[in-house]
Amino acid sequence: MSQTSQLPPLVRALDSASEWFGRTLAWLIILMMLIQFAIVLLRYVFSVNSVFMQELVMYMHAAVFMLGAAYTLRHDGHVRVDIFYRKMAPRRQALINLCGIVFLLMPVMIFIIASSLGYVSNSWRILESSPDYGGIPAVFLLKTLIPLFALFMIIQGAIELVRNAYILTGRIVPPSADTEHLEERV
Amino acid sequence: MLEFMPLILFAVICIVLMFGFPVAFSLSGTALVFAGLGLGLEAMGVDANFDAGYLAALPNRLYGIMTNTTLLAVPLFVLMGVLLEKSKVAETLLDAMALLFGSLRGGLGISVTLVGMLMAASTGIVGATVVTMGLMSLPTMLKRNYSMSLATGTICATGTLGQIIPPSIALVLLGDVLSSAYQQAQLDMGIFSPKTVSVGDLFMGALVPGMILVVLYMLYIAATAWLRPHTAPPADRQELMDELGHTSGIGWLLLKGLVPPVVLIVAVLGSILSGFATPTEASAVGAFGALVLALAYRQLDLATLKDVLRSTTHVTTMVFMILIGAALFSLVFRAYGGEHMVTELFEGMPGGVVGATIIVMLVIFLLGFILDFIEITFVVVPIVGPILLAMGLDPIWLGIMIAINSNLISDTAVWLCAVLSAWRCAAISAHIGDLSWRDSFHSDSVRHAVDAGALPWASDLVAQPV
Amino acid sequence: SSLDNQAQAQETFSWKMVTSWPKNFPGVGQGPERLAELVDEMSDGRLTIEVFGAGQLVPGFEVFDAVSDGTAELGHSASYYWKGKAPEAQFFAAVPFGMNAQEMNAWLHFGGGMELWNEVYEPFGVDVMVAGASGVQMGGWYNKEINSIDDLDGLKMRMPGLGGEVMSRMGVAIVNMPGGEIFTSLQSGAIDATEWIGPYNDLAFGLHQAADYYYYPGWHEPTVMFETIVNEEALAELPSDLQAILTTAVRDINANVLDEYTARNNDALETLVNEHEVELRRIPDDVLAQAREYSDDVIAELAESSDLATRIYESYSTFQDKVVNYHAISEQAYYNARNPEGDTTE
Ligand code: NA
Ligand code: NA
Repeated sequence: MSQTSQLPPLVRALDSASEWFGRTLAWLIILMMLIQFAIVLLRYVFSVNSVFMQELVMYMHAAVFMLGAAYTLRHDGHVRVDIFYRKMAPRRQALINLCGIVFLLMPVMIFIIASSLGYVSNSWRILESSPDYGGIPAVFLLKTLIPLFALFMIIQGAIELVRNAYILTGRIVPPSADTEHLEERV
Repeated sequence: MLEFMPLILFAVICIVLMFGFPVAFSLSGTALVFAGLGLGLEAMGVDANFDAGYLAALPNRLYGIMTNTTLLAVPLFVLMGVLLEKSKVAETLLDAMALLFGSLRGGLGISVTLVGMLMAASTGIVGATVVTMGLMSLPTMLKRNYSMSLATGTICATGTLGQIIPPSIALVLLGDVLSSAYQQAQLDMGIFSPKTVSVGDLFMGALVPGMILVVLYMLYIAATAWLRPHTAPPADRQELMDELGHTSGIGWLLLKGLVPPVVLIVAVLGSILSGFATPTEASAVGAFGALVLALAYRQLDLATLKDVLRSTTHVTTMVFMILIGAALFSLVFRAYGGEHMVTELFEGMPGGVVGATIIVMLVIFLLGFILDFIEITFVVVPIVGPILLAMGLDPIWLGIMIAINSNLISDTAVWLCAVLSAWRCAAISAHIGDLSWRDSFHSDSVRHAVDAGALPWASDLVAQPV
Repeated sequence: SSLDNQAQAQETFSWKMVTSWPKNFPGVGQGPERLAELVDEMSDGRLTIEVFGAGQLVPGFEVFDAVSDGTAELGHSASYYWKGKAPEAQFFAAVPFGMNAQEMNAWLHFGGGMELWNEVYEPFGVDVMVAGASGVQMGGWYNKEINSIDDLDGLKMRMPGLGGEVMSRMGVAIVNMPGGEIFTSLQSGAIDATEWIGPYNDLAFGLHQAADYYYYPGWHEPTVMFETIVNEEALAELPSDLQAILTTAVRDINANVLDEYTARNNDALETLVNEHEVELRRIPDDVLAQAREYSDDVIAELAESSDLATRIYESYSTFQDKVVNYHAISEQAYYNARNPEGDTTE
């Protein structure tokens, strides 16, 4: 799911933005690893402990998988049971993706937003802080990742909807499986 | 009919999954449709035995997933594995092993198995590792006239081996689920001095059976090589050296390719098993060590690093998305009284805990043909785990049984395919990935490998009966 | 009319109760179970309560949010977990060198404490009732001898809340971890010390297998007061007799949890000392003095954090001053009279 050039301009712009955002987000992984490594050094070598740093790693970790979900969707990285799917013609695959996005993915994401809005706005109302001394005073931001995750998924879901509709209607000729994989590896 | 809603939900999910839409969304989406059905029936005055109150717990559960500190080890272990793989540390390791054992009959296959074992942190979850293994080793093995079925079978089996050899991410996830189930089970039994089971305990428990599997795989390869020498012939060491493009002496290559990664992996595992560090701490040290190794080998440029980080993001996200999907599923399952239903089912089971365990293992085995180890961990274990443990089953034993069971599935698949390939190789030549048709990861991986590099070899060889 | 009353009498309610403890957890976890049984029996099944352990419906630290937004009608927890939402809540769980269980109950029920506590939770749509106490806790398990304040420097310890903040000002590296990780961390040396609850729960956790010294007293938690929180809207829907049944049942478990701890702690401590040969140690006087000084600072900072906190602090400390004066010539004098040798454990 990475063909962009034939899509309508707005969708194309959103899609590029999503790609850029995902690539930027990925840098959090190495930051997170370095901070966690520093925590280990500080604890075992210098007997110093920082609740703030511990929570920082947790915030980054949560941000990576909540906000990276849409980016992974863009790259078809969410695991499928592909016993039959793999052998299907690209158009049939596009049809399954189309139906899946409309009947499974979108309702779930809308439900997540609907059910979490109260939860998150309560947290904003009191600007909820860390439950621990020395922690990050931004629990309300952390909780905001929940509806934000669903929103990103809805946007990317819509992009994939268009992309798969284009494949289904023949406006995009999907690459054959082999070349697609080669592309990915190059 | 309505009292069987939990089972119907489960069955429908299995069917929906077969269409191939991503597991996380099939799971949660189908559950949500069933929730809507329950709400609708209740609104129409039909008693669907559906307690809509459960759905409201979703944000609390999502936040719980986001703040679960045990699971911090997941992205860091993935990072470690992907770094070792993409920066060619694993490749150098494999080369060194191949040079060490390649001149023996079946030696190349044994090398692949050993490297797969050492790369345990990411294999079994990261299909990419198996891809690389395939990329690296399949052409070499096939060029040495290894039989197609033995070569691909070795790669597939080794890929799933990664699930059970610690520090496996699958075991981290399973440990997290089992530890809460175990404490719960003991308190339910009236044991008020609950023992705890940690990820480290599970690692320890998995080590011996994992090693036994490694030894069995190697014995199988050795025996095959002995009984049918043409399936796994020895390679000429100098020829291998030339082919692998190494000009330095073999001693230096072994020192450089073997020692640092083995030391790193043993140190990471040792610090967890000895209880010196938590899995999260060890995973950070491991990932940092892998970064240093990659830099020391001069294999890490900016493009590779970006690639590593993107892969790690994809894999981490994929794992957590299944966890999120499973969270919604489990709420709907419980809202329909599924938990009580399963408990009653188990308590009425003839044969007590043994009978129940056999049934669960059978169900996991069958589910294993469509679900991955982590999906079973998130979907099935939280439901059946507490019940089995409350019936007196040991948690480590249960955990290892589940892990081995998942391995068994892939072994069965590999074996089936090996049998198949013996009489109908041509049929599978188009998609060698079908060799392990159970597991989308492993099948994909080998397919990727074949697509990306091994295909010329594969199509040549597969055309003739093995 | 009587017909209306009859209809109302027949209306049944099934509530969910979420807790921060594993289901059936010894001591504190028995409170909510007993509450559910009592209410069911007293109301003749008109109000049934399904109790969920931590993580069964919502994670343990999500109890307050779940009750606040009505996901569950009832919750059982401890108020210091909600520091991030309302720092003032910490006054009602455990205050270092503060009031013990008997004194807290007196302040809460007869000294205006409950009114203030409810005022803290009012913006969240949550009503609160005090629902159990641990009694004076133990100081914690140490793998290093503490003979002076210097011995604390660089010590890695798990201690939550206000007490943890006091310890960190004394040079201790405070580590936060869930209950399930404490044992392994202590055994492996990832931490040098931890506090948990008291002999009953500590023995159950097997902490004696992972540490050499068992220090007392638990200055950081002279008791923990547990809470039952109720969603305000759900409570308002209950007919008045069921409301009364609920309140009475909570008052029952409030006493019952403390009684259970008092009864079981004795036996558990004997088992720890006699069977497991645990070394019981008293925290040195200079350490206690320093901790008292820093506690005053930490509490003063908390008191200044908001108007409500100031009012709670004033109510709390005024009550404590008075009760300490009286208890000096009652409880304390009696303890001294009963046991003139004082501490004979060493
Ligand atoms: Na593994
Ligand atoms: Na405590």
